[in-house]
Amino acid sequence: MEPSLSCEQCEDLLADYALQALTPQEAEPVAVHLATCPRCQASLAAYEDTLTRLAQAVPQYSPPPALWRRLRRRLPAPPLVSRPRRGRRALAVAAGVVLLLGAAWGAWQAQREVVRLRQQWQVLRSELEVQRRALAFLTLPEVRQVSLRSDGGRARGVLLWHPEATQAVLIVQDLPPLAPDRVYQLWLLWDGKRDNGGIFRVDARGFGLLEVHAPKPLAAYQAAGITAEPAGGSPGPTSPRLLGGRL
Amino acid sequence: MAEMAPPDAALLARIAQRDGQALELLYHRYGRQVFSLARAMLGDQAQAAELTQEVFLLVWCSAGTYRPTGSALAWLLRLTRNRAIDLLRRRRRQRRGQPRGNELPLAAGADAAEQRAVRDAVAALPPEQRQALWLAFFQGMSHQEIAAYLQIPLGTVKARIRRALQALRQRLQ
Repeated sequence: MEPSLSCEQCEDLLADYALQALTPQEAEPVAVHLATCPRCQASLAAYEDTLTRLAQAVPQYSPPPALWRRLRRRLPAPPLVSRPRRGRRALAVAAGVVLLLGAAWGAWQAQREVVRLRQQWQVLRSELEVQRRALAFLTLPEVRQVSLRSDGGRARGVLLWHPEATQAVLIVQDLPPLAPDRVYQLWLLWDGKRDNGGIFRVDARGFGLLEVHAPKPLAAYQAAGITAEPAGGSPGPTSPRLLGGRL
Repeated sequence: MAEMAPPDAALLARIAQRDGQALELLYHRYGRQVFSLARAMLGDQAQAAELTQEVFLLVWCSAGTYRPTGSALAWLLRLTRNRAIDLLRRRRRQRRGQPRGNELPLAAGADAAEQRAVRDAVAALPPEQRQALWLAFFQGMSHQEIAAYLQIPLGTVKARIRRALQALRQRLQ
């Protein structure tokens, strides 16, 4: 566990943190402090704003005209489709409010809905926190990316990792949602052995995000794979590999 | 009535849902800034184009992880700079080369008021702070690399960069 920083110590490191000039080991306690300190968050935002303006002050050139067409061809499957399925959770929240206000439903029913929404809110909040940390990790210099592919299926994933860090981020797409008693498990392979990289679930669209905490720095591993396992995970894979890739 | 352009956060939410049209809108909105920063850092048109593609592919794959604390452009430019730093560090490892140029690559003509303000703020920095900032920000050199390159103590490098950023922050506020 890293010792916690004071605001003064954090402030001393913020310019370098904004420049991403800190090593992952140096950056971690800063990120931990920032997560709960609005004052240092505001200070970091001011540094980042300065750097963004510096980055925008370079001479401006238009990209080659054909660049978008080339980029479009490189987009991974599935092809470009629009799936406007937003607002389901917002609707659930609105429904919860309506239930509370609508006396016709009875107080007991409203109370039950409040509990459900509170649980849902807690889940969303922890998901957001994981996404925030994943995004912070993504901005570290020298983060590498390895594609995880399935043997013939449309499921795919990407593992973002830093050779010196034990933390990594896994993003998967189009993995089928599992029954409640099953989870996906990430395996990290080294010298013919496997380490548990963590367990995760995917949403109804097959999207999943895992904050990986490996036992060793990621440079020690040669490959990664994903299998479906019983809830809670397994000591070793008990089903065929669904996604895999070499680091 | 003219249709309102969707805000960045809405575009990123649509990209997370695999909406290619939203990615195209985001590209046409910010592709120029991404490409220009890549070109300023790498000094090469073809590599800047390749890096621009990489950045938008990364956005396509990770828009779901975007958390709207800063602007989408700030996020894109951060991704661009990080990817460019990776390339520059690889170049230095392979060729053992020196950093290219010796000055912050800011727009010489500086027509827009915003660009002029940044350029004036940078020009007001002492030359040694400008140089340290250029090496750290546009060349992606670590503090240790800068100390070795300039043959000055590590603490001096850190102090110069920190003072340069603090001064810029104050002048641009």
